[in-house]
Amino acid sequence: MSDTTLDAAAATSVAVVHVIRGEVDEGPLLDLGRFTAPELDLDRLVWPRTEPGPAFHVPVAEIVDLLVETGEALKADRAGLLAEALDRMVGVSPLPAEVLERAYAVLWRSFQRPGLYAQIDHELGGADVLDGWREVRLPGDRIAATRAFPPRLVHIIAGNAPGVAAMSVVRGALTKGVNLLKLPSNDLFTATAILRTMAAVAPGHPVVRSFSAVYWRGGDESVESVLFRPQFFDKLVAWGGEATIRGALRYVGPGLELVSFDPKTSISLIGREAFESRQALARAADAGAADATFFNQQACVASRFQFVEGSWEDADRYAALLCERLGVAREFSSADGPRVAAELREEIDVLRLLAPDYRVWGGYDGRGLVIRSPEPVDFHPDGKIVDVVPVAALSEAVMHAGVATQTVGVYPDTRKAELRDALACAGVQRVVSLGGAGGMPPGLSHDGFYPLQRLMRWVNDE
Amino acid sequence: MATAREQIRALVQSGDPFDQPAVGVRELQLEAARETFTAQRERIPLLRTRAQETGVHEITGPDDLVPLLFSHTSYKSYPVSLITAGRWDRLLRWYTTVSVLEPGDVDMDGVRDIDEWTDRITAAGHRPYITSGTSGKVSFLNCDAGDLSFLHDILENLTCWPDPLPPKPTRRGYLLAPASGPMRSVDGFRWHAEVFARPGETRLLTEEPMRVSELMSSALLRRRMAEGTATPQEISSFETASETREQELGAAMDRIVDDIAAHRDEPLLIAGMNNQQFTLIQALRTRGVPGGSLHPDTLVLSGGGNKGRALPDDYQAQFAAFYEGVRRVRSYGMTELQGSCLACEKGNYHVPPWVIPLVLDEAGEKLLNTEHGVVEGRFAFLDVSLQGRWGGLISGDRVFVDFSPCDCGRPGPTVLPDIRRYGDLGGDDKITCAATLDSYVRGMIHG
Repeated sequence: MSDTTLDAAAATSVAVVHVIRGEVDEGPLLDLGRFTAPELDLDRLVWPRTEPGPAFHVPVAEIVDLLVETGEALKADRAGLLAEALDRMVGVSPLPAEVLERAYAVLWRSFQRPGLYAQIDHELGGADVLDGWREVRLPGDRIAATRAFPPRLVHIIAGNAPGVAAMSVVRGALTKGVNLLKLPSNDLFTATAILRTMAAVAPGHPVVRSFSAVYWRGGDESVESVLFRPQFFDKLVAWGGEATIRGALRYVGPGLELVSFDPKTSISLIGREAFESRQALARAADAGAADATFFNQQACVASRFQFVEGSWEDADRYAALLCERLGVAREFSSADGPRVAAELREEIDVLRLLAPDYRVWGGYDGRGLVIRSPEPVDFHPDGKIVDVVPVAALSEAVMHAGVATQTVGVYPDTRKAELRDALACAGVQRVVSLGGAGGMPPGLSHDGFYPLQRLMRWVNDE
Repeated sequence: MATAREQIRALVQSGDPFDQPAVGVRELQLEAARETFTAQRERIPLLRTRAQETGVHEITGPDDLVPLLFSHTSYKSYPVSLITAGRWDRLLRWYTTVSVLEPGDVDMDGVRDIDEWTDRITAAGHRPYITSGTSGKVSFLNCDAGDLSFLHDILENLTCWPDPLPPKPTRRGYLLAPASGPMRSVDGFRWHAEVFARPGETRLLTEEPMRVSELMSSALLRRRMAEGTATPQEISSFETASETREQELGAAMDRIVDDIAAHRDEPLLIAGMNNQQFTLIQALRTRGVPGGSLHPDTLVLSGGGNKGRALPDDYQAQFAAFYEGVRRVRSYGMTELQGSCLACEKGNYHVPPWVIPLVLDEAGEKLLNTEHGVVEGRFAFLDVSLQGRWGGLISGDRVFVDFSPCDCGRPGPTVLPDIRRYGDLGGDDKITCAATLDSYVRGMIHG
């Protein structure tokens, strides 16, 4: 689908909206090839340190109310802002329209009160430390106070799933700090649609004025070398993309910290229990398919390698069922996906010729493809492709997890406990029941740390 | 009656293969494409699979060739674990899926490493030319004996085309390369020395053969690093070994520089990849050898592009300035292509008649060839001369191809000088949180 729509988009040149301190930028437009965007005025992208940010003194309860109302407004989308963003996204995103539609339809979920308080309570220990100074008792009867002070943040967000923009706005708002969002070229529209919706809910609200969202080409020195300075910002919050993180690193130094949601990959471990009955195997294959197809495998939580405890024949049975289930539409995936890229197709064609060491199920039409191999394949399975590897025991599969492994889905649930320490030791950050990789619950750690806690500036009164 | 492929191959000895009537060449090419497809489909399993998958059963025109083109990935699609685990017969089986070789053709008994593996294939009358990429995984591109002799014919007849150099051994030779190894440039440099340099008067950068295992060592270490099993000492040793090797080569280069400086009034043969050439030129200038001062019968061979952009953007201009007045081979080519596209008097690269150029869109899916005029796109081709493997390939290069007659008076098509790799033209700024293990390994080791 992408080729024709991309051409169409190029012909009409999509307009990218910039939001500056809560307001839509009406400045002169620049032609950036596939799209147009307002010319950047660097002065307006910073909040001077000589004064507190607009929301520094707004009580948390009020911010939560605003976010909840924003969520409701996103759900209703009366002004059609999300619909407009969705319309433009469809032309430039690698994700199919139906997946984007469903993802947009649930953006509001990130703005629900229980989830917001879960983050505040579990990550910061409560709202008190955001609203004021929390007393801390120290050894020797000393008493001090500490506060989670609002930070100045640049968010370099990822565009492979629209939820990333929602999550960034929520976290940024809860910090009370000032937030500059750099839009990625694969999602130029979601963040600004959310910010405009929030601005419509409470025009001129201090939290609204604490956000800007603009596009510049990632790595553009004329922008980044000027903005990425401790004079203006405390932290660069970078999502994925090796080039992005390495680019951001150049500016990290005293006073400017990197908070990195590193690029990640994910795997699954399927225990021998899956072969105890046909129902069990069907359940495992469906759960494995759900984890592999999250955002049509564009997301970091999406499973790419699945280790099956059993013989080659067992692995083949699982692989065949898994392949069928990859072609099923789910909340965040479509039955059809992008066609398998030519280079991957060639790698896989060669493996087909190496039967019986390798076996392949499915075709290159994007409905899902499974490879069974004696060891993990050298290439990166992408676009609803899963590599199934038989192992004698799940403990053997742990060696294939590493620092780049984010999520490990395990079947059945009861096997998690025996594996989680070893997986954590290997570098894994998240062990889930197979089928539960998508959608991280708010209030838990992300990529090995508590994001809200990392974003704050912790200040003491001793 | 000679087949179309034989007729096309014979053009190399015709005096000027680039000055053939365009229509006649096109017809001959199409017939040769049919011949090669029919023959190779039977012998190369990956081509057979591709033909079945895409439903291409015959070649009626260039459009039918596009779905049959391979990408360079094909030639390095083997599982690295076959090498680390020493499963040489399995690796041979992989090789036979992308070449005309049959598993029974090669004796793999007692093979101990990847160098012996390539030696055995060479002993069977084939040559697995390797190329290395940024991942460290090398490609293996098969040539048979006929392909090698054709390469030799090209160098004897077309070196320095459009004013071919007589094949006379009159020069003092310098090969900025290892003594041997299954790399087309290494063979090419050696053969040029045999034809154009005085016997026994060729100096090498190193007497050591190029070892595939050494070239692959970074890929293998990378894999161990990704698995988390490489130790700090191992990484350190690797880096130290690279530095030591660089120092040794530096010393060898110094000796060559001295020798060239002493013999600069004689006709020389100086052959090396671009990065070695660049180092050499810098050193010669420092040694007081100015640009344009070498003997006019000197023959200079260079190539290899600017991988990883290690050289300054104007390196070609610097080469041209230093080697002003000498005979230079100027061409656009790659290991995947037999006999490069050679530059005419106007500086345009003429596609040889045994190569059907196929300009594709960036995605590599749609054919953009025209009858006349300039087309921008991804360079792909079918080399109908190849026998050892399928000659259809999609490159990573963004080119402009002129299908009209060239200003030099010969018919086209020509590749115009502005050639870039799509990879160097800049990414598209898409950011995702999903990544491969590569992100955690890259940059930690040299190369």
